[in-house]
Amino acid sequence: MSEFITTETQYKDKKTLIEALKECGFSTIEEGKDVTLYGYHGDKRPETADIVIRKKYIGRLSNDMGFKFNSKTRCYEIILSEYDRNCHSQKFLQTLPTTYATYAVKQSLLKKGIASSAIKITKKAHNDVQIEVRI
Amino acid sequence: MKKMTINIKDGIIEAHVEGMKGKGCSQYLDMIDRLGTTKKRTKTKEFYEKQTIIVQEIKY
Repeated sequence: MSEFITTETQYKDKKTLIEALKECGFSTIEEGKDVTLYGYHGDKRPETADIVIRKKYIGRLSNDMGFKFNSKTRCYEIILSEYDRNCHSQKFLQTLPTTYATYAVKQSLLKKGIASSAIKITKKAHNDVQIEVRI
Repeated sequence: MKKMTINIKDGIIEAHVEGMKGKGCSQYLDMIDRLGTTKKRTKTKEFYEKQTIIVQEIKY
């Protein structure tokens, strides 16, 4: 049985986090309050989360993955099994921070009233994005 | 006219605004401030505000 490990992140916004997860390829995401996480064998675990990706969408031998809001830090924590951290999720764990940040910046610019045509997003390399704005 | 350049690498955001001093450059950096935890912010004293940088980290 692979143990779940909880790690702090700096993801503050639920909507942005969900959009970033979709961008990373997870189209089926469960939202709720204290949603139960399940292990590889379908075993119910004590850990719960607010945003959940079920194991079948991660990998054949995976466990569920979750994000839980921490009211003290005002950020989401990632709850991920030791197995998935070492196997299926490596690429995803590297991609999510840049994807989240890119989406968060773009949404902030749009909220500020900047037209999307004035925002130029260039993906320079894997995990390397440049946004240019004429204000 | 102001120019804002934002580089995002491995979840670290670095924002840079160029524009006339006193013409609201800071508000765009304040906007980035709210997204994470600011590690560094610098501002020039010149009339033409050449460089303002914020570095943030979003990582595990």
